[in-house]
Amino acid sequence: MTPSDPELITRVIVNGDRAAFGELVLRHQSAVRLFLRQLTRGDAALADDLAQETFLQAYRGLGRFRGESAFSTWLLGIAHNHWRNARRRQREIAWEAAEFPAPEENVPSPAAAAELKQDLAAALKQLDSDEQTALHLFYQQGLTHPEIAAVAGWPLGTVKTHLARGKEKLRHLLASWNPRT
Amino acid sequence: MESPDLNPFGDDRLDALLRTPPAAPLADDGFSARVLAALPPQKKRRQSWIRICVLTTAALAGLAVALWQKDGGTDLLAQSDHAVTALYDHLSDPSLLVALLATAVTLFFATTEDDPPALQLE
Repeated sequence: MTPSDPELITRVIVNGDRAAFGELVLRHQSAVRLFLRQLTRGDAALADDLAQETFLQAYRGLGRFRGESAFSTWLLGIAHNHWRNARRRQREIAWEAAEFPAPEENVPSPAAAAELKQDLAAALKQLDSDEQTALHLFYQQGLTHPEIAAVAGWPLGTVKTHLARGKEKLRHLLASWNPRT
Repeated sequence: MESPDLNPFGDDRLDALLRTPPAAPLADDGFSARVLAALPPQKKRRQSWIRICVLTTAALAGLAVALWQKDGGTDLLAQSDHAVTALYDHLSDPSLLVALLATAVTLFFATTEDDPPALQLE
């Protein structure tokens, strides 16, 4: 039977079981790395460095994990903080102006589903960083509003605002790319 | 004149689109091994119960010797019927209070587990 996250955490804390921690990393690396790739706007190398720091900090602070949220939520919170700290350090590089070209306004988008997904990805890149984060955590990571608030350190109302604004912008952006228009 | 459908992305369709995974879960590709290799070296776990027993015994023995020397080894034993009362009387002596305080501090540090470093989220 596969041990649960709390069982593995107990093994790490009580027995110093590194293999158990390895299992936790294996289990959650994809979610953490995907989240950080989204935050770093696709910089896989930077995202993986931040993910490694996230897991190292989690290991050092595991004794303080109270289990009040899911372990994955706790990890995403640490990851978000690492990203915020990294962004603060490198603010002079104009992180926000990352090189994602704006989609050309008048190019009709194909109706094919695969291309619609590409359009969505491009539209997502037009959103504010916080709106992207909220949408990613809600739709891709499956977090609830209170969990997003805990991960990102925002008030609950801010989470709802980011989600609503992000979706409204997406609707507008995707509508303007509608092949029928 | 037919009005164009300017917004075909209603809530349901947009929700479904956003829930579509952008990619399969990331393969580990050695990431976990990299993290494990970077973990801080494991500290040798101390035998806490042995440490507590040894230090408690030593502290109590030291306290007993201090009392014995102060009373010539008789007073406390002679008043064994009133040991609590006798001990209470001795507590009025400042030097004994200092000895007791030192014992308490020693026991506190002896029995306190090492805390993991604080998790600094900011």
